[in-house]
Amino acid sequence: MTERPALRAEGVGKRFRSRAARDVLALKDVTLAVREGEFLALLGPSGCGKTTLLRILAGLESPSSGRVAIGDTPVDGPSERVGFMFQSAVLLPWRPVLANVLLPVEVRRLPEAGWRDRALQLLATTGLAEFADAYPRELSGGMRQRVAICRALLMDPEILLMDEPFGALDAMTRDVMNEELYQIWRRSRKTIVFVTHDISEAVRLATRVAVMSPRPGRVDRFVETGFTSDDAYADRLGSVRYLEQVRELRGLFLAGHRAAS
Amino acid sequence: MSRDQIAGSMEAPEGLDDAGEGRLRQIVLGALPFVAGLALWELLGRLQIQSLQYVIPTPVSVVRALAEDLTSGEMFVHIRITMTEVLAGLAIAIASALILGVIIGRSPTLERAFYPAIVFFQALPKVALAPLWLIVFGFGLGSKIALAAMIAFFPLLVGVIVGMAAIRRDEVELMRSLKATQWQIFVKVQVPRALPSIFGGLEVGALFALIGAVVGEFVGARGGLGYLIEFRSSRLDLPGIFSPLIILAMIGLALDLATKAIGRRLMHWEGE
Repeated sequence: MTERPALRAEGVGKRFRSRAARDVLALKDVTLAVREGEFLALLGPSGCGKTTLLRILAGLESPSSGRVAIGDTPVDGPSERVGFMFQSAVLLPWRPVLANVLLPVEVRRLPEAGWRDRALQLLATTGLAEFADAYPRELSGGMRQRVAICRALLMDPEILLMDEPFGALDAMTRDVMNEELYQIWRRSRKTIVFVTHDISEAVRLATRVAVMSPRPGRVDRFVETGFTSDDAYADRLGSVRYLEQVRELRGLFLAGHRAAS
Repeated sequence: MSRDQIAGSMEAPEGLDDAGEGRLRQIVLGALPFVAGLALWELLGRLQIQSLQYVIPTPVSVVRALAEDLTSGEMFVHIRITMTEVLAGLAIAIASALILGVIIGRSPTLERAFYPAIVFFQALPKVALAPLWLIVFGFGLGSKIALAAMIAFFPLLVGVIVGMAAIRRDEVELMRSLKATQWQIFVKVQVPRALPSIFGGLEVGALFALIGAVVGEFVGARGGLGYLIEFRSSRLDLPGIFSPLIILAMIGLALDLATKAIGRRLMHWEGE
């Protein structure tokens, strides 16, 4: 892999000031290079700083040390080259679905007319064509997350950063959403960084998994899943390699857990 | 049409029918105390109890007085005066509560600075200032508008400040991730979230403005429903007092329903 990274972090650390106790070292010396078109999962238990790392990559938070860059551009705030997805859909309840999807266009003061068709098309590809005029309260959790995906994809960002986007959904809806996201990635070949604490979810989706551990938050190692966008979702799930990867990662976490306690 | 068909056609909009029945039931239940009160009132009047004769007019005499006030047109002059005071006072209260509330709500420093003053003035019974406003603004509309505005101001201010604090972190984050400006965050996310409690303040404030106008007229005025009540009480005209009272209750009800209707329109997305 010699191509230039789409997104990279060099020696990134994050210290949270705490009034009551000692400062918390949320991240320590994290270096990672996200390849173009890669699906990278940031995998780790809660408190390992994976969300903090993602927020720093997104420019929503600034690192206490180290540097972050998209391509050759240093990150010093949110960028339009990045689409961000939160743990919940965060749809504005007073706006119909279409207006929620068009929010990025509105915020950037671009002519909405030129983007309407694209928004409607995105809604159609996620099966929400007839819900364009519905209000978020009329949608199920999975449908809301789909609207959030459409919103994140609207401006066609190079990179998609996702913070446990399906964590709040029930297991079956989550499976469906995983497959849909996988299809979107296969079609669009976007660079995706996906935070999760679910080992099998990471192995199902990612081309590479960054294994993180807490206190202080750091990336212990990278594991190539060996899958590429040529592999269909169902084939991945049914493969022996999938099971082996899950077992291997599970072993890693168990070993880490025993060593810590 | 056979019996079954009729029954069928009546059953068709079942949910709707149930809702209609429930509403009817509510109306009947809600009307009962009024009917009972009126009956008791009429009864007391007819008993011709000596000691009550000058205190309680009969419903019939009140209705007669009300009809007379309305047909002679006298009532409308006073309604217009009181309504002008209420609406002008409310407008001033809304404008100043929005300006001050937004400034305070956006700056923790200013909130700390203004908070003691707000608590102080809120604790003060504003009606006690009526004689002062009379001196400052005179017998005309000005002193009543001032009092109405001042009484309506505080519930509105509290509503705006609480509403500004109802801003949601995740929505601000979303806007930040889209590179929104502070102004965009305010308009697109903070204001919509603030509406419910602003309207809560408005519902109280609108009725408070009515109180302010009437009390202002009691203290000294040349017209208005409060003035009419005050004037007639000096003549022991009991049915004549009750007639503007009924109008005042209707105005209060209308103000309340109007604010609620506007609120529902603006916040159609709420509550469900």
